[in-house]
This record gives sequence, C-alpha cells and structure tokens, in this order.
Amino acid sequence: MERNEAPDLRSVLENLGIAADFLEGAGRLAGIADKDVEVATTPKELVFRQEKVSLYRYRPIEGVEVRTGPVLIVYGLIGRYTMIDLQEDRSLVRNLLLRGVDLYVVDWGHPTRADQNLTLDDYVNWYLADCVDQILDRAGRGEISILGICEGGVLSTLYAAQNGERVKNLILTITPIDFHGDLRDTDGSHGFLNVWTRSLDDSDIRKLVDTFGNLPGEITASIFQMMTPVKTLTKYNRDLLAVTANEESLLNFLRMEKWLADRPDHPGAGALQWLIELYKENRLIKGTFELSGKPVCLEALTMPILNVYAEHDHIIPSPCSTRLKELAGTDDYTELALPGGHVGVYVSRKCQGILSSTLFEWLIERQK
Amino acid sequence: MSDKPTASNPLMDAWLAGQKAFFDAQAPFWQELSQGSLPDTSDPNQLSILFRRVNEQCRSLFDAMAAIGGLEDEPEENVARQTLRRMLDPMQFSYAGVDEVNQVLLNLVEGTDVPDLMELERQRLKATREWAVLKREGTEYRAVTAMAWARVYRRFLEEVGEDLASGTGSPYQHFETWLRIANDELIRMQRSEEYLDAQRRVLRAGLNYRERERKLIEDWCETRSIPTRSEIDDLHGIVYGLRKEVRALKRQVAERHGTVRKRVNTANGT
Repeated sequence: MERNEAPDLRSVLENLGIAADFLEGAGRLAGIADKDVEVATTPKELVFRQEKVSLYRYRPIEGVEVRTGPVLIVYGLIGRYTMIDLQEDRSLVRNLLLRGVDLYVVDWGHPTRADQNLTLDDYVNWYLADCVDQILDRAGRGEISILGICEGGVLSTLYAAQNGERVKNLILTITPIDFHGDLRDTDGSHGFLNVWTRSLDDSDIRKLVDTFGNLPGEITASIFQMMTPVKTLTKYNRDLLAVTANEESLLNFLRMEKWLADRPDHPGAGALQWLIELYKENRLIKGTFELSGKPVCLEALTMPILNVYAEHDHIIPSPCSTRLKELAGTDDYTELALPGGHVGVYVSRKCQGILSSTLFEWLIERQK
Repeated sequence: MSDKPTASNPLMDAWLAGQKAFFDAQAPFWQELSQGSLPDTSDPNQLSILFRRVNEQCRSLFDAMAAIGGLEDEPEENVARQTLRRMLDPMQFSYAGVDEVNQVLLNLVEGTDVPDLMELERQRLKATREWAVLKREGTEYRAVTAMAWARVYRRFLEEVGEDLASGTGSPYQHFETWLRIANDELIRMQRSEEYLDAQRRVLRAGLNYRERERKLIEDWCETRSIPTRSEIDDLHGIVYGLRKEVRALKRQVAERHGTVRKRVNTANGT
C-alpha cells in the first residue's frame, strides 16, 4: 500500500471498528430482558397509602444500629423517587441505611387525568402532611427531618415554612428557591428551562395544561432533552457504543433509561402554580406565593438547613438554590457544593460518597 | 493480509454475513436516496413521506435485530427494546435535541390514526385552518433550526476544512469537533428570541389544533350519546371537591377522638 494512502486506511479501519462495535452493541442490547434491568431494589415496606400516594419505610440493614430519628425523602412530581436507589453500588438510600439513618420515602405514584385538579397545596398540606403524621405516630416523636429533592425540595420547603414545629431538620438537594437565579449564572448553557418558561405567555401555559389536563411527562422529558442538544444527539450512538462492551456499564445505562422513561404526568393545577407562579413570577422569594390561602414566608424556616447543590447544574443553576441562604430565618445554615451536574448528585460515585457522609454527619450533629 | 477483518471469528463472520444480506435487501431504497432522487423538501407532505419511508426501513432493521436477540418476545416497554429502537432510529439525528418539544407535541396532538371510525373526522381536521397554521409554524420553526445547522456546517468547514481535504486527522477527531461546534451553536440558538418565538408559535398552533380536534370529537360523541372529555373532566372536578371534603371531615372526627395529631398550621379546613 502506498504511504500517501495511509490516512484513508486508518479511516477505513476506524469505520470498520465503529461498524463492528455498533453491530456487537446492538446484538448485546437485543439479548437483555426487562427483568435484567431492575431499579429501586432496596427492601422497603408500605407504611401508608392514600389514593395514588404511598409512604414506605426502608428496612434497616441487618446488624446496623439505627442512629438517627426518622428522615423522610420527598421527591418531586417530575420524575420518580427511584433515582435515589438506581443501582446497588450508587444508591443514596443504601448508603444512608448503612450509616444507620431511619429512612422513609413518599412515592407520589402516577397521576392521571382524574388528578388534574390537585394543587401544590394539596401535595403539601394534604398528602405530605399526612405522611409526616403517620411517621411521627409510628416513631412516637414530635419532629421529623425532611430531605427534599428538586421539586420535592420546594414541596419540603413549603411544608417546613408552614409547619416548622414538626420539622427538626430541613435538607434540600438541587432545589430551586429563586426561580430567576439563572440570570446570575455565568454559564450560558445553564438554565434553559427558566428561559423557556419565561418565554411563554401565561395563556400558552394554561392552554397546554387545559388541553392535556395535566402537564404530560412526554413534554417535560422533551424539554430536559432539549437542554443538552448534542448529548441527545449522541446518546444512542456514540455514548451507547462506549458502554456496550461492558455488561455492567450497559445495564447502568439501561437503568438510567428506565428511570428517564418513567416520567409521570404532573397534575395540571399544580403545574400551573409551578410554571406560572414560581418559574415565571418567582413568587417564593417575594413572599407572595400562597399555600392554602396563606403566604409562604421563607423567614419562617428557623430549623437547621443543609442546602446541597451541584456546581454545574444545567437544570437548576446553582444561584437558584443558594439564594436560600439570604432568605431563610435560620441561624444554622450549611451549604454543600457538589461537583458535576443535576443528576450526577445521585448517580456519580464520587458525589454519592460525599453526599451520604456529609448528610449523615450533619444529621448526627443535630440529633440531640 | 486477509480482506476479511473478522476471519478469525466465525460467529462474527456469520453475523456480518446476515447483516450484509439484510442491508443488500434494503439497498435499493438507500441507493435511491443517495442518488439524489429526493422529494421536494420544501413540500411538507413530500418530506413526511420521505421521513416515513426512512422510519419504515429502520423499523425493519430493528425487527431483524430484535428477532436475532430474542427481544421480540419481550414486552413493548422493555427498556433494552426501547433503547435498541432509538439506537436504530435515524430521527434521533434529525431531532438533535432542539426539536424534541415540537416532535412530542406533534405526536401528542396528532395521536394515532384511528382507522375507519374517525377517518372522516380526521380528513375534515386536516382541512381546517388550525392544521394549516400548525404546518406553517412547524415549517418556520424548522427553518430557524436549519439556520443554526447551517452555521454549524460553516464553522465546521472553517475549522477542519483543510484537514478534511488533506486527509489529516481521524474521523473520530472530526466527529468530536463537529459535536463541540454543534453544541455551541444549538445552545446559542435556543436562547435567541427568534427561536423562542418560533417555538412558542408552534406550541400555540399545536394546542389550537388539538382544541379543534377535541371539539370535533365531542360533537361526534354527543350525536351518539357518548360521554365527552369535557363532561368527564367536570366529573373529575366534582370528585376532587368531594375527596377534599371527605378528608377534612374524617380528619375533624379523628381529631375530636384524639386518634390523630391536631394540626396547628394547616389549611384545607382541618
């Protein structure tokens, strides 16, 4: 072969390699059954169920002493709580149980059109409040620690602000408080959700929700995909090919896919509050967001607060989260900045280690 | 040196032979496409036909792969099955992350064609002003995104044009450069007023179309004494109000009997 043809040969070989990887990867994928891709496998028991909402207690790990009071994990209505227990070696749930945390989780279920009238008020002062009461009765205690995640962090904040006497500690992770905080983020790739929502007229949002009854999970999923355009472009080819050679990596990829595919519809009335009153009008930091007819005052958050955010969060830009420091009424406020992005807080092995150990130590210091 | 790179692996050889036969069978379609016998891409109907044909071809490939791997017996929601489908879906490239809402919205508003029963109504819908506006806004939206892709091509050629001409650099390197530039340009585009406005208009048009469809379907249902969506939504509203009342009353009773904690601060009438 002539020397000057070498680059072509290299290209050909590279292309052949890619084609072979592609076929091999597709073949491996085609051999995976659904039962091979399990998520949220940590054992738990049902404590309480009300309509579609279920409260579970994670079974303490045998031989591990329970060292904390009850901690309730509150995920948002966008996505499922299974993110915190995606796989055994990267499970926040398992890591906390191993340290002796008494852990509960509320599962909002899959709202249907029959739930279109449920507001954020209902989720906070009805379902969440009932879950807290159940746990307190069961544990024989007067206070609980709440760990809120993303929109669940907002629900937790709202509950804590109006029911402070029941909340011993408030832990927030990747939680928006200042919904216009993206304007202070210098990274131009962050905060598209904020920009997109503000670009819509209220009437557009109302019509969207009115048309479908709820905010369809397909729509929220597609907006999340839009935020990382090239990642979406390469996900099912380059990124997928990079993991198909290793069965465990491929299964991890598929577990994440399973979580992503499980995106419930957001109840319509609550979605209107979320998008218009919070995302567009930023009422929470202005003290004009009302819950069951009463304004929510962030100064009422006088309990210890641990606020965890991701430094490169493109969904909830960090200034959206850190604004809480100025607005909360507590003297005991701690921030933890984790490297990486939004979902990385829960799936990156590095973040998992930092998060679970910091969270546990912070809780233990505040058990007395 | 053998001209068969997988000669040492008979299983892979057999696999590739099977794939070759499959691709050979598909060849006429791709050949037609590559030889420029493309439809008029300014005509949305012609473009839709093309997209449908591409999708059909890829669905055949998916079916073949699924049969080989035994996935055909797995439920439709099997995550590996879904992932394989996306891996083989050429539309993954055309969406490119920025067209997601548009596509999803179109899927939601158009739904699945119901044969026979609603065919006449669907034909009437496609003749409405709302449908025409939706198509027009969709085309304008795509024009905005196409401009961004044009900028990607131009920047890419500026950066690596000489390398491509001289054969310097590997396909992998060029691909990475392409992705970096595409990411920059698409994110910049997403924040432009032009893009946001186009997307807002396509969203509005989609919802208006859906509203028209609902009206048509409800008229159809009413003439046949079938409950309409609006009537069912009314019922949901009534049941929701009753659920709240029942809960509040149960709670009042329980508090009176001391079987639940009294709430100091909650609303909902408790």
